[in-house]
Amino acid sequence: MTLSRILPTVVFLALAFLLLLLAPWWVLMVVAFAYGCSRARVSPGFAFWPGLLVGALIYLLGALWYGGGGELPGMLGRVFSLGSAGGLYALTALVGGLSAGAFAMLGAYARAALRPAGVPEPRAY
Amino acid sequence: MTKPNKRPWLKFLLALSGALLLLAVLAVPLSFGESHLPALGCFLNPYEGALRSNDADYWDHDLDLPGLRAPVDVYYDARLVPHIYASSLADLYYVQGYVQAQHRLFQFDITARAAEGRLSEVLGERTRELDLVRRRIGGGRLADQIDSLWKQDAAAYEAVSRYAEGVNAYISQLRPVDYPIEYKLLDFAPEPWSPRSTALVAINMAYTLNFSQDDVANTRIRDRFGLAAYDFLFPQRTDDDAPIIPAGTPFSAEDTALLRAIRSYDDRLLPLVGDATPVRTGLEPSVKGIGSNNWVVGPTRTASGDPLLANDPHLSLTLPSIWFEGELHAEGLNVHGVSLPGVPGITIGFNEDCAWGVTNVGHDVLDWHEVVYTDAAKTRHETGAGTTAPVARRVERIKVRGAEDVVDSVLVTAYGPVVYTDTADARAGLAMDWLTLRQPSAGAIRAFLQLNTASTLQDFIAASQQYEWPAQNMVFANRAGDIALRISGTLPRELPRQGEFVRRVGEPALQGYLASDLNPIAANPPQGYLASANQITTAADYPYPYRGGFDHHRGRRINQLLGNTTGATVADMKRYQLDDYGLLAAETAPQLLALVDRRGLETRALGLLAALEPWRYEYSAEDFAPVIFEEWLAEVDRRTWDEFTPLQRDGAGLRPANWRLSRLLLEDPGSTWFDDQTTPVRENASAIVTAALVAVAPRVDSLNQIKGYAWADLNAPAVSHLTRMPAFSRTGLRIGGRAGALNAQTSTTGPSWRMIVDLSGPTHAEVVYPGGQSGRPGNPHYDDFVDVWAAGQYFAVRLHPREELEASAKTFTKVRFRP
Repeated sequence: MTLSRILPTVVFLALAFLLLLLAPWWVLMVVAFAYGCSRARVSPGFAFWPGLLVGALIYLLGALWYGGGGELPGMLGRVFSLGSAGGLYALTALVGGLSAGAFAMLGAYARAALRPAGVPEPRAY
Repeated sequence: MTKPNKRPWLKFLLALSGALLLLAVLAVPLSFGESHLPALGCFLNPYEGALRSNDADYWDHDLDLPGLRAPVDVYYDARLVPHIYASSLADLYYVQGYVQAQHRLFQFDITARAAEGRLSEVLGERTRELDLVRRRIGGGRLADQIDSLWKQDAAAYEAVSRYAEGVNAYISQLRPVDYPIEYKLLDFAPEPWSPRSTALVAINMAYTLNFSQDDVANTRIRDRFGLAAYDFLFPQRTDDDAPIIPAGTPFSAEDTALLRAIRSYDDRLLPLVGDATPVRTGLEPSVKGIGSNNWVVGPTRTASGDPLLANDPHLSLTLPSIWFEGELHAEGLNVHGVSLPGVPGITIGFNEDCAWGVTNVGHDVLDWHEVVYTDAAKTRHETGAGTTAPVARRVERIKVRGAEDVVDSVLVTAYGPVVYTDTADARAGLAMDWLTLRQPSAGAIRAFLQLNTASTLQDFIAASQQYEWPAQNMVFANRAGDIALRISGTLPRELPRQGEFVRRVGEPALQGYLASDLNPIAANPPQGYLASANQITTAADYPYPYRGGFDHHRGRRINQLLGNTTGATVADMKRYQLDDYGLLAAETAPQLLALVDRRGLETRALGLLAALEPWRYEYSAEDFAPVIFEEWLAEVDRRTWDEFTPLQRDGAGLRPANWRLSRLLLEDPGSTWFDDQTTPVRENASAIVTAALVAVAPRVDSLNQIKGYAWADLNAPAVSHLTRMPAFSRTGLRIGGRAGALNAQTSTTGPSWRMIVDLSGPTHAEVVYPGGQSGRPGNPHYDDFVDVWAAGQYFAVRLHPREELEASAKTFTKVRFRP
């Protein structure tokens, strides 16, 4: 995998992280959408996966940073019938991952829809 | 290689639909029946959601507070107890408000809402019924009246208004990301605080301590069994009483007009009409186990020759705790203790010169009046022979989360509001005459603020005379060696039995209130100690009538212990506060064992008897014998008082106390009360006791087969979060004690603040409460006292000169509040 393929995802990750520190939760979706739009050589279906990975990673690291070592994640895990802190972390990562993945895919579909007629649809790497 | 671009817009629209659906699921709060989930997108976002509610160090930095007049320093000790040093009382209460709000904001909010009848706005339909009742009672209107009274009292108003400003300074600095977790879970925002909100906190305490309403049950029982039986089953005085004010204590004043009226009073008892009321369940049952202990030991009985004072209020055990510990210094005020979050000053504590504590007096101050309307439209009601009064109406709109608003038209009579209108309720159509409503009080704040700076016995008396409700047995001790116990609060001026039963139209009205110098007080008694544990207030030589829900077991036990104590130490006081001895069990278990007919008993029942016989009546957490006794006694109680079952199925239920049963087993085992109403033969105590054992033996024996099962499992003490969410609560505590023991532990109530003050040398104390200073679940200080408390341990505290804290930078964390 070349740097040119990884770099947009790294930029996506960094931008999403910075904006999440400053803006509401839905900014992750906006950034993911932009990321999906920007990926000309990635099929919409495949754009989902880097989105999922980035979203899950950002949410999981954030949850570990703010909740790690404390008792609150475990308590919240029990509030949501997830059993433990691990359950809460998993749910948090899932929500982050799905949010980013879905909107990255949507961005890629939007780009595809706006592509002029006759221009072929990109395939996965 | 690329594929042809087929139907791109259709795919986009499908993806858009999916993404929007996901967005909607994450952006909108979800409801499942009465359960609500916050919008998960924000809630689970780690950068602004739930996990940001728990930054442990959010308080650990200097702050600018424009409302201050001079810098104020707060030193937090390792337990997160703030020691506040201000140059004026105005700044002191400002910062106290700020600091308490920092740690307990949600508790502030929910307490005020509960008193006002606004819980349903955030908790939904499950609290609608409670809100409806509280609105009809009029907690919000009462708070308005108290607020107006405070404005006429400069010292009290400065305290509550500056405190409120401090709370609001905190709220205004609070970003949504910093909200306590409960706000995020329930998806609402804090409201501004005001002196009125503080009044609501006080009203909430009146609901807890001053809201006994047995009139309807009393009336039913009297009408069903007759007055003689009623008096036998529910005596106000018993042979075993150990009054709070020792017999022979002189009363300094006299209400001659009332005494004359009492002597000439014709005791007219009229039956409640239409007593065949249907049933109703679940309406604000009174919380069992609410009560308290306090005592003072004078110099003649202590090892040091200086007084000792102990107090442990038995209240609902919650997280966060009902108490917040703190130390306050300003303008000659130096005080340490606990206060109710939302209220300035220290409620129970000590200063350099004295200490004080409280227990609930428990006199009945809530009466029910029959209401007879003169017309179908209910515009007027009868007040006596040929006299009427108008019925006022006020409309209450209750917002209910996730449901339509409830609009209620409240009828307000000359006696008070008609609180229950559902015809399935025995109290429907009756008017509530509650002292708390009749006499809006500004005095409680003033009394406690004066106690904070008290020194002499005269200071104590002057302060306690300011206090109005809920009436408290206040104990006092000072370094001069004085000890005292005063019944503090407004006491109704009543004729005999007035207010004991539902009051009929035309019955004599309340005579007002006793002058405060008629409140009983004992100071420096010859016995060398004074104690209160919610037993009857006075011996029969006190001439003014009153009644209440008294129990003498704890009072007798502490009098027994203190009466046998000389050279008392703090260690003795701890031992007494933690005493698990059950006096009721000591007097009843031998009777059960003597009366049970062992012939024909199966092996399991015999095994239980063998296990119970060596028991020494200690409700130890890991002992199984208390399980046998309690289960057996409960079954004997159920079978003995089977006549009461039909009267008990709604909110107006009442049964004779265990004391009555115990004495009946001892003194009259052939009593007709032991007859089982469902059998053709006539049972006696032996038959009931034996049948009860046979009935419970299989269940109790099966519990005994569970490895490690003991009293703590049956009693199941817990410290529950205010919202009752199990995840934020502490359950499974291995604690001994019982409601009737000095260590009065039930599943939901118990010693909410244990304090022992030693007035020898610089005043110092041993304290603990079941909770933690932080109200934020998951915070290291959320429940860090619970295990210490459960283990029967204490923290040593004393007043600290500021210089000492400055020199102890490693022990104390300093926060400077700058104007």
